[in-house]
Amino acid sequence: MKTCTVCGQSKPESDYRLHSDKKTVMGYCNDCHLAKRRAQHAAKREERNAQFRARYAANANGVRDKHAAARKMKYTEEGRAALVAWIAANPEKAAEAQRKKMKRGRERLSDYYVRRLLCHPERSTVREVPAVLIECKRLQLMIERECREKR
Amino acid sequence: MKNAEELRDELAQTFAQLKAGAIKPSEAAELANLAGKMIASAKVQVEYFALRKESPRIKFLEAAE
Repeated sequence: MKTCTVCGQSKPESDYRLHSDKKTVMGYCNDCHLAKRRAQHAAKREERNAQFRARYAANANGVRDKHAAARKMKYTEEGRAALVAWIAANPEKAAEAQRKKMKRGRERLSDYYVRRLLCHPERSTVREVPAVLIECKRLQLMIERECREKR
Repeated sequence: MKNAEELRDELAQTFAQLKAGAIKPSEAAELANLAGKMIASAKVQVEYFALRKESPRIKFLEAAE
């Protein structure tokens, strides 16, 4: 057992972090350490965020380029064609990704999932489902789920 | 409930009441079932006009646009 120099509580040594030498334990417990780190983070939050924004704007580590490439892949015809080609080459991976996406959508009742329930893209000619209809369907599903839970 | 916006408001209200325990699950389920019928009917209308490649105003969805 060791007494924390900050909170004064006696705690087992497993509740203390190790110094960088990986041999001796710190004087303050893990909870106090985390509280201190949270306070430091909160105090410097704006400054750090400004630094990160500046780095992003300057494309310092290439993240901005990466995001632009990802957007291009997602929203342009070229990107769409590449995606279709990838799906054709990797049907199992694509099916697994689609299953995951649908599972996520089912849990969160996402717009994508609800729109698909209303008008399946492969079985329906409707391309644009009115937003208010999607909202109504989502609320209906939420009520049905809540009823099932309460029964 | 004369249009989809009113239906949405009614459903939101029902959901809140159900959460708070102000109404029974059976009552809420009935309303959800009715709402499902109305939504399906509106969907059929939307699909019909999409098939005919027409875009007339649908009264039920009008207030939303």
